[in-house]
Amino acid sequence: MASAIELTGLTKHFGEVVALEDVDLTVEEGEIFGFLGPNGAGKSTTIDTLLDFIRPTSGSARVLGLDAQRDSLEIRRRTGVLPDAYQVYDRLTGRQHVQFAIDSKGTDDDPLALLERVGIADAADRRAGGYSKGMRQRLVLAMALVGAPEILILDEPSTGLDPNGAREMRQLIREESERGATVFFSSHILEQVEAICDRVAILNKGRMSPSTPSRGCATPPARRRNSRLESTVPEGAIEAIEVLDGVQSVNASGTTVIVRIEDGSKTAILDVLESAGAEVLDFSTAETSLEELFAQFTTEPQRNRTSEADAPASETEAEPAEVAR
Amino acid sequence: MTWAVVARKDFNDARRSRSLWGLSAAFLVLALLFAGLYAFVPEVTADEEMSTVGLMTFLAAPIALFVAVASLVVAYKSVAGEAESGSGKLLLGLPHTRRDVVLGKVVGRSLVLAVPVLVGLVAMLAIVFVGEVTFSAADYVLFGLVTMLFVLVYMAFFVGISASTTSTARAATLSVLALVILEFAWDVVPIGAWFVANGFVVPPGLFSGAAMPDWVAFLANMPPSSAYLNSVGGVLTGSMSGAGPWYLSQWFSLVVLAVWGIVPLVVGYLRYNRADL
Repeated sequence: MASAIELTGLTKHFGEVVALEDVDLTVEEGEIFGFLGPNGAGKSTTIDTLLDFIRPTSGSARVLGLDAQRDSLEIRRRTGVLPDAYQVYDRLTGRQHVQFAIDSKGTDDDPLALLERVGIADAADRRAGGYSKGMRQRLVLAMALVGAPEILILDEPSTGLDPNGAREMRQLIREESERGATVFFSSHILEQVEAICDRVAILNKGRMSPSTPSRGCATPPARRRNSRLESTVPEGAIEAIEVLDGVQSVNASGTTVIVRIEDGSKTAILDVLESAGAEVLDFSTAETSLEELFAQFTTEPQRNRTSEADAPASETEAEPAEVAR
Repeated sequence: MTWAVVARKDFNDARRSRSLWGLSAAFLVLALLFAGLYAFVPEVTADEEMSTVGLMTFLAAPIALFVAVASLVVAYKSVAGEAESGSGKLLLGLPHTRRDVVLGKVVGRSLVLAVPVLVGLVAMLAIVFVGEVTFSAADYVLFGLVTMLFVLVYMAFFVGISASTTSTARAATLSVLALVILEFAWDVVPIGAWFVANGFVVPPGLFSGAAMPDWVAFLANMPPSSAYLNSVGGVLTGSMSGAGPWYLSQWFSLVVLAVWGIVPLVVGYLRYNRADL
């Protein structure tokens, strides 16, 4: 079975500006895939490449097993698109917009039924130029739903929507997913992604996060734990912890030791420390949430600086709990 | 091939634009004014008998200018505007090739201009009948057909310019520049070329009105409007071959017209097809 989306070494330069650098990404058929990153990370550039709005400098993009450049027309026949930074045709009505999408795809959908689904059927015969931002977003979503596409590509779908609208958007995405569609959507808002995605990838400054390629929100990364210990650090203790099962990294700074672990080895760490002669003053654990992964990846430089600056508990580490003894 | 879908969308969009209605009204007034002048003020022409051919000949030059200016207004934003505003992302997110987009634009916008021109031509019939102008349906239809071709050519020309850039400002600049050169400043080109070819000496007969060499005449006939007027003359007189060499004939003017439509359109399309949107 072909992947719904497959990016291989995708690179795009605009003159001197590097928009994407060697991006690899695989989205499987049928999943809801969240594409996360701060503004300007290159999310839209990636999506524009999938739709052949722009051509990669090097690397390749495949959608539904087809080449994004050579077979673009076939891809767009089978894809529903909600682009970023689009503009509607001010003088055409909502119904005419949807009808245009229906005619373009050669399907026999009912424009009014689609507008009903996105909640703007009552404005069907008004000019889209008079629509609010949220209504335009709903209108273009209705256009994307035309023809029950195999894959939905949504660029910042919740833009311009109020919380209620964003919830309805998520509901629609779930419905489409249940129908069997693959959903690939980008967002800079964590909650949007966390709420519905099966898997997530984080893009920052044109590069994929090294820690989260194709790892889902509900799969290993989310169960990673940070254990924080306030302790005097005896000679050799760090090395002894590092070789323990499940330990991914150890950081000691002043009297704070931060250990990143998979499941179940917390007490082993304490044992090692205490048997090495350390006095443990305080101990806390925290799950690494998507938010932390996002923060870790997108604010890397600052984080390094603060951890070097001997701060016993720096807030950029994002451990929420710290229990005093 | 979904160009027809794009054309229909474009026509639907444009026909609701106020500038189109203004354009139509302007053309209607212009057509009726000129027809009225021809029919009721004999002094404006030397025609002994008022006829359809006479009316058309009288009308062709103002129509040519109107079509040139109006097609610029209608077309300069057609492709560049969609690329700039982001509606192009909506358009190309749907399964259209960029060729479909360009072709659809040419057809859609040509219809936008063809409708008011046809309305004007039909409205003029009233004056033709009231003013006792000899009416020839065949001449009328032929004139209408050549004029439609001319509309299509100028629209393709400006859509081509619009497709060659993603900035409406640049599209506007290029379009106005092209219009000024082709419609207002072209006279200096054949004369200048003649002057240069004559070794930078004013050729004898340049100002005395003596016949210019054939190749200078060809240059003078080159702009779309001149080619259109030459074609109209040929069609209405029923003589397409003329007396001079083949490249001065009326049928060749039709070829020149077609070239004005096709070449800029192809160049614009090729640039658009390569562009990052």
